[in-house]
Amino acid sequence: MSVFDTIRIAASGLTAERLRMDVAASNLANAQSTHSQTDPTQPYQDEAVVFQAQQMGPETAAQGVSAIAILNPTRPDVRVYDPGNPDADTQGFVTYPNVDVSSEMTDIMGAARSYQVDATVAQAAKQQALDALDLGKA
Amino acid sequence: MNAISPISAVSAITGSSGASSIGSLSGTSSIAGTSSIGGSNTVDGTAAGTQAPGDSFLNSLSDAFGSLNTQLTSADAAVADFASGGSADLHTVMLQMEEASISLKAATDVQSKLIEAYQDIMRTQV
Repeated sequence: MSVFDTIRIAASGLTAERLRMDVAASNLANAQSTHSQTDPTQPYQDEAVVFQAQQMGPETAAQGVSAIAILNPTRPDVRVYDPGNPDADTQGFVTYPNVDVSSEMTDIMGAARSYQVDATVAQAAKQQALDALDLGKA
Repeated sequence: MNAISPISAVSAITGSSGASSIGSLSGTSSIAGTSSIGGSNTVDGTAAGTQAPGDSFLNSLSDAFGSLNTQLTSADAAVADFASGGSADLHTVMLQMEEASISLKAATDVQSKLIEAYQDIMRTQV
C-alpha cells in the first residue's frame, strides 16, 4: 500500500469526526426546538452518527471509516408544565427534545480528540513520505 | 554503471508514485521495483536492456508525470472549491495539497537524479 493510503485513511477519520461534531452541534443548537424540520408537530429529534469500517481500496487490507447512518436514539421527550407557552398541549405541557446536553458535550470532546488523533496520523504519514524522499539525497 | 543504477531506481520510484495516485498497485509491486535496483548493479551494463519492451522507462516516466498532473489539478480544484465557499472540508483540501506536494517533490527528485546521471556520463573521460 502506498503512503497516500495512510493519509486517506486518516482523512476518512477526519471527515467522520467532523460529521460527528456537526451532529452534536445540531443537537445542542436544537436542545430547545419544539418543532422539528421534518414534522413541525413534533419536537426536534436527537441524532447520533453510526460509523462503519470501510476498505479503502482493492489492494489494501487497511480500513478507513465512513458514517453510514444518522439514527434517532429512542429517548423519551422531556415534558415541561408551562400552560402559558404557545406550544403547550391541552394539558398545559410543552414537549422539549430528548437531547442530553451533557452527553452531547462529552461527544464533542471525543470528536475533537479523535480529530486531533487523525490529524497526527496524517502528519506522521506525511513525514514518513518526506523521510523516504530524503533517502534519495546524496 | 554509475549512471544506470539511479535510472532504474528512478523507474522504481515513478512506478510506485503512479501506483499511489490510481490506488490500484500494491506495495508488493513497488518492492519488486526495488529488486530491479539490485539487478542493475551488474557490471556488464545491460541492466537497462532487461526491461520489457512495452514497459520502457520513458513510458513509466510519462505515466508518473501524468498522474502527478492529475494530482496537482485535483488539488487545485479542491482549493478553488474551498475558496469559493464549496462543500469541501478543510482537511480534505489540505491533505490533497500535501499529497500533490509530496508527488511533486518525488518528481523533482527523480528529475535531478536523471540530470545527475546524464552529467556523470557526459563527464566520462574518452
